[in-house]
Amino acid sequence: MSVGSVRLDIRSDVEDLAGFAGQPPNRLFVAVHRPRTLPATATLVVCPPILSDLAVHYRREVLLGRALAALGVAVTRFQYRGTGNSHGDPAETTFETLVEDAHVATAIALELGPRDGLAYLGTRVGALVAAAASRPVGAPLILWEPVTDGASYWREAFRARLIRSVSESGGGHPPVRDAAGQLAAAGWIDLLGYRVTRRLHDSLRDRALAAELGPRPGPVLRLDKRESRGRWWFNPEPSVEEISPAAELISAWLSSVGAP
Amino acid sequence: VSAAGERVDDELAFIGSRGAELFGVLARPRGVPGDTVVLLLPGAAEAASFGRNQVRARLARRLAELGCHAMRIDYAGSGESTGSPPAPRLDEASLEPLVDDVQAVTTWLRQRGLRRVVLMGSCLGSRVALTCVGRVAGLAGLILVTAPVYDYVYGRMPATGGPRGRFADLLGRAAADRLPVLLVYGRTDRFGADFEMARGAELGPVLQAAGELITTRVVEHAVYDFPNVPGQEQVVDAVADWLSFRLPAMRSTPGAR
Repeated sequence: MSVGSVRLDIRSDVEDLAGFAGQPPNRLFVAVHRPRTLPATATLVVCPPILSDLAVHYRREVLLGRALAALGVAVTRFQYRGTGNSHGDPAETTFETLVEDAHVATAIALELGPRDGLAYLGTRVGALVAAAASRPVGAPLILWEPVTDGASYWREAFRARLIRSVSESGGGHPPVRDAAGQLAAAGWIDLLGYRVTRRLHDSLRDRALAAELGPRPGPVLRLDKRESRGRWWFNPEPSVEEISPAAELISAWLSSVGAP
Repeated sequence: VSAAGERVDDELAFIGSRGAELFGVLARPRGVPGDTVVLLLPGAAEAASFGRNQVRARLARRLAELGCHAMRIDYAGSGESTGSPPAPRLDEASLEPLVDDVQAVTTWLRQRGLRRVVLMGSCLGSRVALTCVGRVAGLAGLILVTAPVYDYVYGRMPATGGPRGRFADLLGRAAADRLPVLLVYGRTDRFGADFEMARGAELGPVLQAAGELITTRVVEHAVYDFPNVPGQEQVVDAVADWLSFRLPAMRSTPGAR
């Protein structure tokens, strides 16, 4: 990893490193949060969600990374090729490249954090990625609002697209219904402002969490949000009250399950 | 500094401002010297500066390929930055802290030889950019995408129109300072409809007096919050075209304001 910027938080004794890793043209944005003076007790690789979920969960993952580092866990976050601050052609993205990118991040995590105590956290589709990436070593796995299978993920996503299409049409235009047909015909569709290719769709469609975990998975912790009424759909600044308990729960759980 | 693309390097930075550290990405054209930079300011509801479907990251790299540096920043409390997020309000008092942030970033850019600054803002970011006129050194132009004409309180917008605020005055001040301005609206956006309404009223004299200094592009697709891919591409093309046309004149201007 070529480190581009470093920030120190003296108060929480946390160091943030931001840089790029991997081979051109697929240079991945990577951020590492780690304790500054005390040795880290575990290394957590965070596999983010994709498409609209990335925006919804991004800030929480940043804050969670910093909070976990303050509790002694070295956290490595990254963004898949062609997403976020990373480089690369999004048209090349498949489920397999998502997992490849998780392996690049794992190498950075092990380079900059303790080599013992590797674990993964995956959010939404990232849970499928984290399960696949963790399988070779049976690493502990934290699943945050996981997508349990690709087919139902796409079904929900296409439904959201249809709902927006209906609400925007206002009766003026016919709503966009046939997402699968458009994917087949054009090779991509516009999914709420994101370009989804047939390659990505097809590679993710048949993936299921149970299969990605394999027959002998490591310890698994699943976290789902409590339904909260009256909140704005997108919360750009999750409060400390939301982040701190999650960080403490994860830190304690990692301590209890130990190294793979 | 991390080499990222074939013709563009991305430099990452944490820049101190108002007790927070703002995360920024500077796209540098490889091997091309220059003193002009476009500073990209997101809208209020965006998770980070790269934007939906990387629209702003793509734009920054496109501008760097044209030979112009491009910097994008995460507001305090968003993306990789620290601190608390800005209030999504358009009144001057609410925008002033964000003007302070722009000053901190432009100071950092000047230290790297980038002294001519074109501010490009989307929605809230466009009003921040306008509020920077006369307050931020080195301004060379403005690019305003879906700039709200009326002073809404976010989340409590009327169906159309709204309280008349400072937009016309700010735009007039930019023209008086001889700053070239690009306005981009989506034909189907409510902000586009508001702009058309104001163009027939209080904005008309301002646009007429500014003449060729102010360029207006109304694109076919919705672009507020970049809700679709064609609209994103139309904005990227419109900004790149305008800057390609304006850049030589900006560079030949002896002193940036």
